[in-house]
Amino acid sequence: MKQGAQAPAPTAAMERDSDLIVALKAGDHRAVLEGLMDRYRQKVMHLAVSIVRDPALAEDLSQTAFVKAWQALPKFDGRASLSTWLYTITRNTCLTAVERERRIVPLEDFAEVADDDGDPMLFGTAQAGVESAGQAAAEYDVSKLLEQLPEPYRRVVVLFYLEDRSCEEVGELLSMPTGTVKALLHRGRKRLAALAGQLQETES
Amino acid sequence: MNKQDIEARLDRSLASQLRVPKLDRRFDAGVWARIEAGQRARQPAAAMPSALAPVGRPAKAAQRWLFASNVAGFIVAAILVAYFGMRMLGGITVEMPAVPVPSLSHEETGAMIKLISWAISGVALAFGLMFTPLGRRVRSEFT
Repeated sequence: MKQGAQAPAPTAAMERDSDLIVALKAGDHRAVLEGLMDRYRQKVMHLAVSIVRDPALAEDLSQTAFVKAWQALPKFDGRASLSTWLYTITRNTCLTAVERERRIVPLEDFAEVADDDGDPMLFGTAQAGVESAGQAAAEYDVSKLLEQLPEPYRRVVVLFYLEDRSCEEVGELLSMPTGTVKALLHRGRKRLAALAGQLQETES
Repeated sequence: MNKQDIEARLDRSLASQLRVPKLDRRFDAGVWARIEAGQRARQPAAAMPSALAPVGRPAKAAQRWLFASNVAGFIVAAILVAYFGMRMLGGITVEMPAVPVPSLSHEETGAMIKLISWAISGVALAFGLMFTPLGRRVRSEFT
């Protein structure tokens, strides 16, 4: 296998997908797509759900993303890792679908959010043990609350829970620094808590 | 209920309600089916060229002829512009030579129009027959 003189420094994701890169260089596109689907189908689905919020549509768009990846595989230049490249295709596919329905707030508007207060990972854990049994049994209607949360916060919050509470995974899926993910997550959950509080007041 | 209780309840609600169906090999099969359907949809279009579009060698030959006639036309036009332009700029009056036009009688004009009409009809008919199954088979014998 030839090694290019100006090849990018391998990242963890690139090392993880090195076998797929070997198959790609050998021209075995079928094996590459099979490998990508095997490893990333669920993550692609999570990303799609976080954007479009409809599991059936998300599955359809995830398949579309893999079809687009198949078509673009011969043009893959290796500048990014295969997973990052696939997530970008998925994001663009979903955002195009959402933009068609004009339900979007540009993510760039929230790119400079500072990680100003608190650790988002500690949310809800401080007093969790002191709740009564009745309170523990009750749950909020999450879909109703998420409906009122602005788009970039919602996307991060949804992905955080789908990705087993890993900010790093969310950052990789959204091509965002982990600090930005934490900031968006913290603010998103604070907003959700405020909305939940309002909902509770209305109910009582 | 205090703020921490609300947050804890919210955290639990998010963790339990945010669920996505687990995808398996059926998802992959769906992707392959879409890829194959796309490839099948493209194949007939590629295999069936437009009836009027020349393909292969004839197309290249036609392009060459078109290019050559364009170049010839451009050269002739450039020569004429240069010749007459220079004469006009040099103060020489440019006069077009008088070309003698033969005078045709009414009968002769009618006969010529009839002849030309038959010729055009014949060519149009032959052109149409070229795109019938029989015409295609005949053409394929010569190409």
